Amino acid sequence: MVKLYVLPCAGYDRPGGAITRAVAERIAAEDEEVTIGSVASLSAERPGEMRSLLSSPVIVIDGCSMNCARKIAETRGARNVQTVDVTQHTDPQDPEEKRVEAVIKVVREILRESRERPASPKRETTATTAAPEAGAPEENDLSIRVDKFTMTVRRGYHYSDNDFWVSVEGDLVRVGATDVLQQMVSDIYYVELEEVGKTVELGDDAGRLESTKTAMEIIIPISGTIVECNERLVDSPELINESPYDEGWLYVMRPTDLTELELLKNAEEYLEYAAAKARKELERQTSGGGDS
Amino acid sequence: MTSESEPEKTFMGVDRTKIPWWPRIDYDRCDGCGGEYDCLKFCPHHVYRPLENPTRIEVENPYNCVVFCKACQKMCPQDAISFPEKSEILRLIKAERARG
Ligand code: SF4
Ligand code: SF4
Repeated sequence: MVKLYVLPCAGYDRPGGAITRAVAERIAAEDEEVTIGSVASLSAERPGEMRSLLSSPVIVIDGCSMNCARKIAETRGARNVQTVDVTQHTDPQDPEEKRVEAVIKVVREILRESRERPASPKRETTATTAAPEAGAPEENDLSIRVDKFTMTVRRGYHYSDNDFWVSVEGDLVRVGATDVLQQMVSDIYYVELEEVGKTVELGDDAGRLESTKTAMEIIIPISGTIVECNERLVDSPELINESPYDEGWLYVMRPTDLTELELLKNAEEYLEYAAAKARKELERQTSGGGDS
Repeated sequence: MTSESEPEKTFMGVDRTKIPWWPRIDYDRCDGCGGEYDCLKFCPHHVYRPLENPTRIEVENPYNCVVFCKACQKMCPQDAISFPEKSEILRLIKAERARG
């Protein structure tokens, strides 16, 4: 039995990205041997995700020329990767549904071929045979789909109403921007971070983001002193888009008062809040003639 | 039926209308950007309303403003926009929650 790993890209907010997601979901629905991969989980090198990636033939679906899905699959050591580039198989003028159909056809074809050919010699993965684990990376992530947005939250994190997250790591906390924020602001091309040593209060701004759609302050979700900044964001601000809960983190802080976590939402609560927010955003876009 | 206004109803579990966070306009400075209304153009949350003769800006929907957001402040060429102290607001939120 050949398992197949289908990886849609991380550009949820771009037209092409939404298509890759829809295609992966449809393919997985009709073919139980297909596992949908997650760019975010690959970035984090989650054991279950790595295992799926390395032990299966991989079909990558990229929605735009950034090819983020292919790149991450390759850097994570996937062999046997086939890439489907949405832009090559569809006309951007076509309605989304038609484009999805066109891409599904291409993917089905690849699936058939890979089944006819004997599977590559069985490889035991030596990479990450981690502790007992259910296998699916989704065990940590919750998702909800609202129209073209598929929003993900990470279980166990705490969320502010300003769309930032906090994760407790021993005495310290790590903070970052949520997937929801990342999708609302779209491609982030500039990040300015506050300096290590600075003490900030919940609600203070510390640094800022600029994206193709807007500019905004980073609103700190918990009071404390900054002990580390994610320096990688200076050169690679897109990490916030690609991996909001992992590689795209913003600060590590020493919290002043951990009881402030009570002010924040848990994953389930935040997901609900985020869905309502996304619906509103969509309404605004459709009524206001929104973005193009 | 829809939950469209859900996000703005409460902030951190506190009734949004109990949190006095919105832009304060200094009318000695605001000139409506000569009809350009930069703050209005910038903010997507329908907080502002433009006035004419003379041109200036008004906060029409204060509770649409995102608590702790100050993004429009930097857009103002006249430096006419200010906000309450964040620490005050935070204290108030904590107190409201403690009251339950
Ligand atoms: S940006 Fe400043 S000057 Fe312009 S309308 Fe707004 S408050 Fe007035
Ligand atoms: S502070 Fe933010 S939400 Fe409030 S009016 Fe300004 S830009 Fe809009």
